[in-house]
Amino acid sequence: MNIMKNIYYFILLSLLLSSCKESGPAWTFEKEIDISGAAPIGIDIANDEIWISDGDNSRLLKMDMDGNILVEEKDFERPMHIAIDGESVYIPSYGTDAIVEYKNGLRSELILKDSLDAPAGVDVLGKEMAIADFYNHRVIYTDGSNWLSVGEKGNGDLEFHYPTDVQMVGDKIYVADAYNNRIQIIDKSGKHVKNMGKEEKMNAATGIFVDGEFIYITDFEHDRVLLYKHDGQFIAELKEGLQKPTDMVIYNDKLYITNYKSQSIAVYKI
Amino acid sequence: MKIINISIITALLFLFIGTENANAQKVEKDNYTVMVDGLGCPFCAYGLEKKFKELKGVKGVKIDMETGQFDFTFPADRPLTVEQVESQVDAAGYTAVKTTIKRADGSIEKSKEKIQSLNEDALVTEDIYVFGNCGMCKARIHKAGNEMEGIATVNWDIDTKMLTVTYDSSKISIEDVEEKMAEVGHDTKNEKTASDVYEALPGCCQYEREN
Repeated sequence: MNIMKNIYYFILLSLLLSSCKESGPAWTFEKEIDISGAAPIGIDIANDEIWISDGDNSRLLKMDMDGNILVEEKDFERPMHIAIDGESVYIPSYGTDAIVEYKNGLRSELILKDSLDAPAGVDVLGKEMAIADFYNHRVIYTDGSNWLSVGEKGNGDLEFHYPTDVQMVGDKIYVADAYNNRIQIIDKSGKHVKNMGKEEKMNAATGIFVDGEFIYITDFEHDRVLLYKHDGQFIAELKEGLQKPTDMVIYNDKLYITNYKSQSIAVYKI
Repeated sequence: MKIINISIITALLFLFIGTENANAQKVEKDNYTVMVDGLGCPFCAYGLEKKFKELKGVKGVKIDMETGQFDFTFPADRPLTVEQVESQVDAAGYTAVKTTIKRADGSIEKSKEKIQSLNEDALVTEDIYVFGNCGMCKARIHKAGNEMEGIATVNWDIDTKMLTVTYDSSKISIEDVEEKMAEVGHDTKNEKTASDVYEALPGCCQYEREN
Protein backbone atom coordinates (compact mmCIF):
# COMPACT_ATOMS: atom_id res chain seq x y z
CA MET A 1 0.00 0.00 0.00
CA ASN A 2 2.84 2.31 0.98
CA ILE A 3 4.61 1.52 -2.29
CA MET A 4 1.51 2.49 -4.27
CA LYS A 5 1.25 5.69 -2.29
CA ASN A 6 4.90 6.54 -3.01
CA ILE A 7 4.44 5.87 -6.72
CA TYR A 8 1.37 8.10 -6.70
CA TYR A 9 3.31 10.91 -5.00
CA PHE A 10 6.23 10.45 -7.43
CA ILE A 11 3.96 10.75 -10.48
CA LEU A 12 2.24 13.79 -8.98
CA LEU A 13 5.58 15.45 -8.24
CA SER A 14 6.85 14.70 -11.74
CA LEU A 15 3.77 16.23 -13.30
CA LEU A 16 4.12 19.28 -11.08
CA LEU A 17 7.79 19.72 -11.99
CA SER A 18 7.21 19.29 -15.69
CA SER A 19 4.44 21.86 -15.64
CA CYS A 20 6.81 24.29 -13.89
CA LYS A 21 9.57 23.79 -16.47
CA GLU A 22 10.01 26.94 -18.51
CA SER A 23 10.07 26.85 -22.24
CA GLY A 24 11.49 29.58 -24.40
CA PRO A 25 10.01 31.24 -27.43
CA ALA A 26 9.53 28.65 -30.17
CA TRP A 27 11.96 30.13 -32.68
CA THR A 28 12.20 28.15 -35.89
CA PHE A 29 14.65 28.78 -38.69
CA GLU A 30 12.94 30.47 -41.64
CA LYS A 31 15.60 31.53 -44.15
CA GLU A 32 19.04 32.92 -44.73
CA ILE A 33 19.53 36.30 -46.38
CA ASP A 34 22.67 36.28 -48.53
CA ILE A 35 24.87 39.33 -48.04
CA SER A 36 27.97 37.96 -49.79
CA GLY A 37 30.82 40.40 -49.82
CA ALA A 38 30.03 41.69 -46.35
CA ALA A 39 31.45 40.20 -43.17
CA PRO A 40 28.88 41.39 -40.63
CA ILE A 41 29.81 42.21 -37.06
CA GLY A 42 26.82 44.27 -35.88
CA ILE A 43 23.17 44.58 -36.86
CA ASP A 44 20.24 46.82 -36.04
CA ILE A 45 16.93 47.35 -37.80
CA ALA A 46 14.55 50.31 -37.99
CA ASN A 47 11.86 51.42 -40.43
CA ASP A 48 12.13 48.17 -42.41
CA GLU A 49 15.79 48.82 -43.11
CA ILE A 50 18.66 46.65 -41.96
CA TRP A 51 21.89 48.30 -40.91
CA ILE A 52 25.04 46.21 -40.91
CA SER A 53 28.59 46.97 -39.89
CA ASP A 54 30.93 45.19 -42.30
CA GLY A 55 34.06 44.76 -40.21
CA ASP A 56 36.40 43.25 -42.78
CA ASN A 57 35.64 45.87 -45.38
CA SER A 58 35.22 48.76 -42.92
CA ARG A 59 31.79 49.67 -44.27
CA LEU A 60 28.41 50.60 -42.90
CA LEU A 61 25.60 49.19 -45.02
CA LYS A 62 21.90 49.94 -45.17
CA MET A 63 19.84 47.19 -46.77
CA ASP A 64 16.23 46.43 -47.50
CA MET A 65 14.67 43.47 -45.74
CA ASP A 66 15.83 41.17 -48.55
CA GLY A 67 19.47 42.15 -48.16
CA ASN A 68 19.73 44.46 -51.15
CA ILE A 69 22.18 47.24 -50.43
CA LEU A 70 20.58 50.69 -50.38
CA VAL A 71 23.45 52.70 -48.93
CA GLU A 72 27.14 51.87 -48.72
CA GLU A 73 29.32 54.03 -46.50
CA LYS A 74 33.02 53.26 -46.83
CA ASP A 75 36.17 54.12 -44.89
CA PHE A 76 35.12 53.33 -41.37
CA GLU A 77 37.90 51.78 -39.32
CA ARG A 78 36.61 48.34 -38.38
CA PRO A 79 33.04 49.24 -37.38
CA MET A 80 31.70 46.91 -34.71
CA HIS A 81 28.38 46.45 -32.83
CA ILE A 82 26.20 49.36 -33.95
CA ALA A 83 23.07 50.88 -32.42
CA ILE A 84 20.21 52.92 -33.85
CA ASP A 85 18.58 55.68 -31.84
CA GLY A 86 16.10 57.93 -33.59
CA GLU A 87 17.53 58.93 -36.95
CA SER A 88 21.11 58.21 -35.96
CA VAL A 89 23.24 55.13 -36.29
CA TYR A 90 26.05 54.91 -33.75
CA ILE A 91 29.19 53.09 -34.83
CA PRO A 92 32.04 52.02 -32.57
CA SER A 93 35.17 52.61 -34.63
CA TYR A 94 37.49 49.92 -33.32
CA GLY A 95 40.49 51.12 -35.31
CA THR A 96 40.30 54.78 -34.36
CA ASP A 97 39.06 54.48 -30.76
CA ALA A 98 35.97 56.58 -31.41
CA ILE A 99 32.18 56.45 -31.50
CA VAL A 100 30.86 57.84 -34.75
CA GLU A 101 27.33 59.14 -35.24
CA TYR A 102 25.95 58.69 -38.74
CA LYS A 103 22.89 60.82 -39.48
CA ASN A 104 21.35 61.86 -42.78
CA GLY A 105 24.46 60.87 -44.66
CA LEU A 106 26.82 62.82 -42.40
CA ARG A 107 29.35 61.50 -39.92
CA SER A 108 30.50 63.08 -36.71
CA GLU A 109 32.74 61.77 -33.98
CA LEU A 110 31.24 61.95 -30.50
CA ILE A 111 33.20 63.81 -27.85
CA LEU A 112 33.80 61.46 -24.97
CA LYS A 113 35.12 62.23 -21.51
CA ASP A 114 37.39 59.23 -21.57
CA SER A 115 39.78 57.61 -24.02
CA LEU A 116 38.83 54.29 -25.55
CA ASP A 117 41.00 51.44 -26.76
CA ALA A 118 39.14 49.56 -29.50
CA PRO A 119 35.44 50.15 -28.74
CA ALA A 120 33.57 47.02 -29.79
CA GLY A 121 29.96 47.79 -28.94
CA VAL A 122 27.70 50.73 -28.23
CA ASP A 123 24.11 51.31 -27.16
CA VAL A 124 22.36 54.67 -27.13
CA LEU A 125 19.03 55.68 -25.62
CA GLY A 126 18.51 59.42 -25.89
CA LYS A 127 21.25 61.03 -23.85
CA GLU A 128 22.33 57.75 -22.35
CA MET A 129 25.16 55.74 -23.85
CA ALA A 130 26.99 52.54 -22.92
CA ILE A 131 30.23 51.41 -24.59
CA ALA A 132 32.09 48.10 -24.51
CA ASP A 133 35.73 49.21 -24.33
CA PHE A 134 37.45 46.07 -25.63
CA TYR A 135 41.15 46.47 -24.81
CA ASN A 136 40.50 48.38 -21.60
CA HIS A 137 38.30 45.52 -20.36
CA ARG A 138 35.60 47.83 -19.13
CA VAL A 139 32.18 49.34 -19.81
CA ILE A 140 31.63 53.07 -19.97
CA TYR A 141 28.22 54.55 -19.22
CA THR A 142 26.93 58.10 -19.36
CA ASP A 143 23.50 59.43 -18.50
CA GLY A 144 24.26 62.49 -20.59
CA SER A 145 26.06 64.43 -17.92
CA ASN A 146 27.94 62.03 -15.65
CA TRP A 147 30.40 59.40 -16.84
CA LEU A 148 30.99 56.05 -15.21
CA SER A 149 33.76 53.54 -15.93
CA VAL A 150 33.10 50.02 -14.72
CA GLY A 151 35.49 47.11 -14.75
CA GLU A 152 39.04 45.96 -15.23
CA LYS A 153 40.66 42.87 -16.66
CA GLY A 154 39.72 39.70 -14.86
CA ASN A 155 37.07 37.06 -14.44
CA GLY A 156 35.37 38.08 -11.22
CA ASP A 157 32.35 40.28 -10.65
CA LEU A 158 32.77 43.73 -12.24
CA GLU A 159 35.74 42.38 -14.17
CA PHE A 160 35.72 41.80 -17.91
CA HIS A 161 37.80 39.94 -20.42
CA TYR A 162 37.43 41.75 -23.73
CA PRO A 163 33.79 42.94 -23.64
CA THR A 164 32.40 43.11 -27.17
CA ASP A 165 28.79 44.27 -26.92
CA VAL A 166 26.41 46.09 -24.59
CA GLN A 167 22.71 46.81 -24.31
CA MET A 168 20.79 48.95 -21.85
CA VAL A 169 17.38 47.84 -20.61
CA GLY A 170 15.71 49.64 -17.72
CA ASP A 171 18.27 50.37 -15.05
CA LYS A 172 20.62 47.63 -16.20
CA ILE A 173 23.46 47.23 -18.69
CA TYR A 174 23.87 43.79 -20.26
CA VAL A 175 27.39 42.96 -21.41
CA ALA A 176 28.72 40.30 -23.77
CA ASP A 177 31.80 39.48 -21.70
CA ALA A 178 33.40 37.79 -24.70
CA TYR A 179 36.37 35.83 -23.46
CA ASN A 180 35.02 35.24 -19.99
CA ASN A 181 32.45 33.37 -22.06
CA ARG A 182 29.50 34.75 -20.15
CA ILE A 183 26.88 37.45 -19.86
CA GLN A 184 27.56 39.99 -17.15
CA ILE A 185 24.84 42.35 -15.94
CA ILE A 186 25.59 45.56 -14.09
CA ASP A 187 23.33 48.42 -13.10
CA LYS A 188 23.72 52.00 -14.16
CA SER A 189 25.31 52.97 -10.87
CA GLY A 190 28.12 50.50 -11.54
CA LYS A 191 26.99 47.74 -9.19
CA HIS A 192 27.23 44.10 -10.14
CA VAL A 193 23.89 42.38 -10.72
CA LYS A 194 24.47 38.94 -12.16
CA ASN A 195 26.62 36.67 -14.32
CA MET A 196 25.18 33.91 -16.46
CA GLY A 197 26.13 31.42 -19.12
CA LYS A 198 29.25 29.78 -17.70
CA GLU A 199 27.63 26.34 -17.59
CA GLU A 200 27.03 26.35 -21.33
CA LYS A 201 30.80 26.59 -21.97
CA MET A 202 30.62 29.26 -24.64
CA ASN A 203 33.69 30.12 -26.68
CA ALA A 204 33.59 33.86 -27.30
CA ALA A 205 30.31 35.47 -26.24
CA THR A 206 30.43 38.16 -28.88
CA GLY A 207 27.00 39.74 -29.29
CA ILE A 208 24.05 40.37 -26.99
CA PHE A 209 20.38 41.22 -27.41
CA VAL A 210 17.90 41.68 -24.59
CA ASP A 211 14.12 42.02 -24.57
CA GLY A 212 11.60 42.05 -21.76
CA GLU A 213 11.58 38.27 -21.45
CA PHE A 214 14.87 36.87 -22.61
CA ILE A 215 18.58 37.48 -23.08
CA TYR A 216 20.19 36.30 -26.31
CA ILE A 217 23.93 35.77 -26.69
CA THR A 218 26.00 34.65 -29.69
CA ASP A 219 28.49 31.86 -29.05
CA PHE A 220 30.87 32.65 -31.91
CA GLU A 221 33.10 29.58 -32.07
CA HIS A 222 30.30 27.10 -31.42
CA ASP A 223 28.04 28.50 -34.16
CA ARG A 224 25.04 29.03 -31.90
CA VAL A 225 22.83 31.53 -30.10
CA LEU A 226 21.86 30.85 -26.51
CA LEU A 227 18.70 32.09 -24.78
CA TYR A 228 18.36 32.81 -21.09
CA LYS A 229 15.63 34.02 -18.82
CA HIS A 230 16.42 37.14 -16.87
CA ASP A 231 16.88 35.06 -13.74
CA GLY A 232 19.76 33.27 -15.49
CA GLN A 233 17.92 30.09 -16.42
CA PHE A 234 19.18 28.61 -19.67
CA ILE A 235 16.25 28.16 -22.05
CA ALA A 236 17.31 27.17 -25.52
CA GLU A 237 20.03 26.92 -28.11
CA LEU A 238 19.64 27.94 -31.77
CA LYS A 239 22.07 26.42 -34.27
CA GLU A 240 20.38 26.05 -37.62
CA GLY A 241 21.76 28.35 -40.30
CA LEU A 242 24.44 29.81 -38.03
CA GLN A 243 28.14 30.11 -38.89
CA LYS A 244 30.21 32.27 -36.59
CA PRO A 245 27.33 34.45 -35.41
CA THR A 246 28.25 37.91 -34.18
CA ASP A 247 25.07 39.81 -33.32
CA MET A 248 21.30 39.68 -33.42
CA VAL A 249 18.13 41.74 -33.12
CA ILE A 250 14.39 41.05 -32.95
CA TYR A 251 12.24 43.06 -35.34
CA ASN A 252 8.55 42.50 -36.07
CA ASP A 253 8.54 39.17 -34.24
CA LYS A 254 11.47 37.83 -36.19
CA LEU A 255 14.98 37.18 -34.97
CA TYR A 256 17.79 38.32 -37.28
CA ILE A 257 21.25 36.87 -36.63
CA THR A 258 24.39 37.98 -38.48
CA ASN A 259 26.70 35.22 -39.70
CA TYR A 260 30.26 36.48 -39.97
CA LYS A 261 31.62 33.40 -41.73
CA SER A 262 28.84 32.63 -44.19
CA GLN A 263 28.24 36.34 -44.86
CA SER A 264 24.53 36.11 -44.32
CA ILE A 265 21.68 36.94 -41.98
CA ALA A 266 19.79 34.00 -40.53
CA VAL A 267 16.11 34.73 -39.92
CA TYR A 268 14.07 32.89 -37.30
CA LYS A 269 10.33 33.15 -36.82
CA ILE A 270 8.04 32.34 -33.92
CA MET B 1 61.08 82.77 -82.25
CA LYS B 2 63.87 83.45 -79.76
CA ILE B 3 61.29 84.26 -77.07
CA ILE B 4 59.43 81.01 -77.76
CA ASN B 5 62.64 79.00 -77.45
CA ILE B 6 63.50 80.65 -74.14
CA SER B 7 59.98 79.94 -72.85
CA ILE B 8 60.20 76.27 -73.82
CA ILE B 9 63.63 75.88 -72.21
CA THR B 10 62.41 77.62 -69.04
CA ALA B 11 59.32 75.40 -68.88
CA LEU B 12 61.43 72.24 -69.34
CA LEU B 13 63.81 73.44 -66.66
CA PHE B 14 60.96 73.93 -64.16
CA LEU B 15 59.55 70.54 -65.09
CA PHE B 16 62.94 68.89 -64.50
CA ILE B 17 63.45 70.63 -61.15
CA GLY B 18 59.91 69.75 -60.09
CA THR B 19 60.40 66.08 -60.92
CA GLU B 20 63.69 65.98 -59.03
CA ASN B 21 62.06 67.54 -55.95
CA ALA B 22 59.16 65.12 -56.11
CA ASN B 23 61.58 62.19 -56.26
CA ALA B 24 63.55 63.57 -53.36
CA GLN B 25 60.38 63.94 -51.28
CA LYS B 26 59.00 60.50 -52.15
CA VAL B 27 59.52 58.13 -49.25
CA GLU B 28 60.79 54.75 -50.34
CA LYS B 29 58.86 51.89 -48.76
CA ASP B 30 59.41 48.20 -48.20
CA ASN B 31 56.42 45.91 -48.68
CA TYR B 32 55.80 43.27 -46.07
CA THR B 33 53.59 40.19 -46.42
CA VAL B 34 53.06 37.93 -43.44
CA MET B 35 51.00 34.77 -43.57
CA VAL B 36 49.34 34.68 -40.16
CA ASP B 37 47.65 31.49 -39.16
CA GLY B 38 44.46 31.23 -37.14
CA LEU B 39 42.90 34.58 -37.95
CA GLY B 40 39.43 33.12 -37.51
CA CYS B 41 38.25 35.58 -34.90
CA PRO B 42 37.70 39.08 -36.32
CA PHE B 43 37.98 40.78 -32.96
CA CYS B 44 41.50 39.48 -32.48
CA ALA B 45 42.46 39.95 -36.13
CA TYR B 46 41.46 43.60 -36.04
CA GLY B 47 43.51 43.80 -32.86
CA LEU B 48 46.60 42.59 -34.73
CA GLU B 49 46.06 45.31 -37.29
CA LYS B 50 45.54 47.90 -34.58
CA LYS B 51 48.67 46.94 -32.70
CA PHE B 52 50.78 47.03 -35.87
CA LYS B 53 49.44 50.46 -36.76
CA GLU B 54 50.88 51.70 -33.49
CA LEU B 55 54.33 51.28 -35.07
CA LYS B 56 55.01 54.69 -36.48
CA GLY B 57 55.43 54.38 -40.21
CA VAL B 58 53.26 51.32 -40.79
CA LYS B 59 50.88 52.08 -43.66
CA GLY B 60 48.64 50.30 -46.09
CA VAL B 61 47.62 47.55 -43.68
CA LYS B 62 45.49 44.86 -45.28
CA ILE B 63 44.26 41.65 -43.70
CA ASP B 64 42.65 38.89 -45.69
CA MET B 65 40.71 36.93 -43.11
CA GLU B 66 40.23 33.93 -45.38
CA THR B 67 43.86 33.40 -46.33
CA GLY B 68 45.45 34.96 -43.26
CA GLN B 69 47.53 37.27 -45.45
CA PHE B 70 48.65 40.39 -43.64
CA ASP B 71 50.22 43.15 -45.77
CA PHE B 72 51.73 46.48 -44.83
CA THR B 73 54.43 48.93 -45.86
CA PHE B 74 57.19 50.48 -43.77
CA PRO B 75 59.77 53.18 -44.59
CA ALA B 76 62.77 51.67 -46.35
CA ASP B 77 65.22 53.80 -44.37
CA ARG B 78 64.15 51.97 -41.22
CA PRO B 79 64.04 48.38 -42.48
CA LEU B 80 62.51 45.68 -40.32
CA THR B 81 64.03 42.21 -40.52
CA VAL B 82 61.98 39.06 -41.04
CA GLU B 83 62.74 38.10 -37.44
CA GLN B 84 61.57 41.50 -36.13
CA VAL B 85 58.31 41.26 -38.03
CA GLU B 86 57.62 37.72 -36.88
CA SER B 87 58.47 38.48 -33.28
CA GLN B 88 56.12 41.50 -33.43
CA VAL B 89 53.35 39.22 -34.69
CA ASP B 90 54.17 36.63 -32.04
CA ALA B 91 54.31 39.30 -29.32
CA ALA B 92 50.81 40.37 -30.28
CA GLY B 93 49.77 36.77 -29.62
CA TYR B 94 49.46 35.60 -33.19
CA THR B 95 51.39 33.16 -35.31
CA ALA B 96 53.50 34.20 -38.27
CA VAL B 97 53.83 31.26 -40.62
CA LYS B 98 55.82 32.82 -43.40
CA THR B 99 57.10 36.33 -44.07
CA THR B 100 58.15 37.89 -47.37
CA ILE B 101 59.71 41.33 -47.60
CA LYS B 102 60.04 43.13 -50.91
CA ARG B 103 62.61 45.83 -50.35
CA ALA B 104 62.38 49.15 -52.15
CA ASP B 105 65.56 48.26 -54.09
CA GLY B 106 63.84 45.18 -55.52
CA SER B 107 65.51 42.56 -53.34
CA ILE B 108 63.38 39.95 -51.57
CA GLU B 109 63.83 38.40 -48.13
CA LYS B 110 61.91 35.42 -46.78
CA SER B 111 61.53 33.36 -43.63
CA LYS B 112 64.07 30.61 -43.26
CA GLU B 113 62.73 27.13 -43.90
CA LYS B 114 63.55 24.29 -41.55
CA ILE B 115 65.92 21.72 -43.04
CA GLN B 116 66.41 18.53 -41.08
CA SER B 117 67.09 14.86 -41.48
CA LEU B 118 65.05 12.37 -39.51
CA ASN B 119 65.93 8.82 -38.52
CA GLU B 120 62.98 6.91 -40.02
CA ASP B 121 63.61 3.89 -37.77
CA ALA B 122 63.30 6.02 -34.66
CA LEU B 123 60.01 7.73 -35.55
CA VAL B 124 57.40 7.44 -32.82
CA THR B 125 53.80 8.71 -32.78
CA GLU B 126 52.18 9.74 -29.51
CA ASP B 127 49.14 11.70 -28.33
CA ILE B 128 49.29 14.29 -25.59
CA TYR B 129 46.63 16.58 -24.15
CA VAL B 130 47.35 20.26 -24.89
CA PHE B 131 45.09 23.00 -23.55
CA GLY B 132 43.73 25.54 -26.00
CA ASN B 133 40.54 26.95 -27.46
CA CYS B 134 40.51 28.05 -31.02
CA GLY B 135 42.04 28.22 -34.48
CA MET B 136 44.63 30.67 -33.27
CA CYS B 137 45.67 28.21 -30.57
CA LYS B 138 45.98 25.53 -33.22
CA ALA B 139 48.22 27.72 -35.35
CA ARG B 140 50.48 28.49 -32.39
CA ILE B 141 50.68 24.86 -31.30
CA HIS B 142 51.48 23.67 -34.82
CA LYS B 143 54.11 26.30 -35.36
CA ALA B 144 55.81 25.55 -32.06
CA GLY B 145 55.85 21.85 -32.88
CA ASN B 146 57.07 22.28 -36.43
CA GLU B 147 59.91 24.53 -35.31
CA MET B 148 61.34 21.80 -33.12
CA GLU B 149 64.28 19.82 -34.38
CA GLY B 150 63.23 16.19 -34.67
CA ILE B 151 59.53 16.71 -35.28
CA ALA B 152 58.07 15.00 -38.36
CA THR B 153 54.39 15.97 -38.06
CA VAL B 154 52.03 17.57 -35.57
CA ASN B 155 48.26 17.76 -35.53
CA TRP B 156 46.17 19.28 -32.74
CA ASP B 157 42.46 18.51 -32.64
CA ILE B 158 40.50 21.57 -31.58
CA ASP B 159 37.63 19.47 -30.15
CA THR B 160 39.51 16.76 -28.29
CA LYS B 161 42.55 18.96 -27.47
CA MET B 162 44.76 16.00 -28.34
CA LEU B 163 48.04 16.70 -30.07
CA THR B 164 49.20 13.84 -32.25
CA VAL B 165 52.92 14.16 -32.76
CA THR B 166 55.33 12.05 -34.76
CA TYR B 167 58.93 12.62 -33.76
CA ASP B 168 62.42 11.23 -34.06
CA SER B 169 62.97 9.60 -30.67
CA SER B 170 66.74 9.60 -31.23
CA LYS B 171 66.65 13.39 -31.13
CA ILE B 172 63.83 14.45 -28.81
CA SER B 173 61.36 13.05 -26.30
CA ILE B 174 57.67 13.64 -25.72
CA GLU B 175 58.64 15.59 -22.59
CA ASP B 176 60.50 18.04 -24.84
CA VAL B 177 57.31 18.54 -26.83
CA GLU B 178 55.31 19.20 -23.68
CA GLU B 179 57.91 21.72 -22.52
CA LYS B 180 57.74 23.50 -25.87
CA MET B 181 53.94 23.71 -25.73
CA ALA B 182 54.09 25.23 -22.26
CA GLU B 183 56.77 27.64 -23.42
CA VAL B 184 54.46 29.12 -26.08
CA GLY B 185 51.44 29.39 -23.78
CA HIS B 186 49.71 26.01 -23.75
CA ASP B 187 49.51 23.88 -20.63
CA THR B 188 49.81 20.13 -20.91
CA LYS B 189 49.03 17.57 -18.24
CA ASN B 190 52.65 17.69 -17.08
CA GLU B 191 53.89 21.16 -17.95
CA LYS B 192 52.43 24.53 -16.99
CA THR B 193 52.86 27.81 -18.83
CA ALA B 194 54.28 30.80 -16.96
CA SER B 195 51.50 33.20 -15.91
CA ASP B 196 52.89 36.14 -17.89
CA VAL B 197 53.01 34.04 -21.07
CA TYR B 198 49.43 32.88 -20.55
CA GLU B 199 48.26 36.43 -19.87
CA ALA B 200 49.85 37.61 -23.09
CA LEU B 201 47.76 35.22 -25.20
CA PRO B 202 44.90 36.83 -27.14
CA GLY B 203 41.58 36.72 -25.32
CA CYS B 204 40.15 33.94 -27.40
CA CYS B 205 43.15 31.73 -26.66
CA GLN B 206 43.00 32.05 -22.88
CA TYR B 207 41.64 28.61 -22.11
CA GLU B 208 40.32 27.61 -18.72
CA ARG B 209 43.30 26.43 -16.69
CA GLU B 210 43.37 23.51 -14.32
CA ASN B 211 44.79 24.15 -10.86
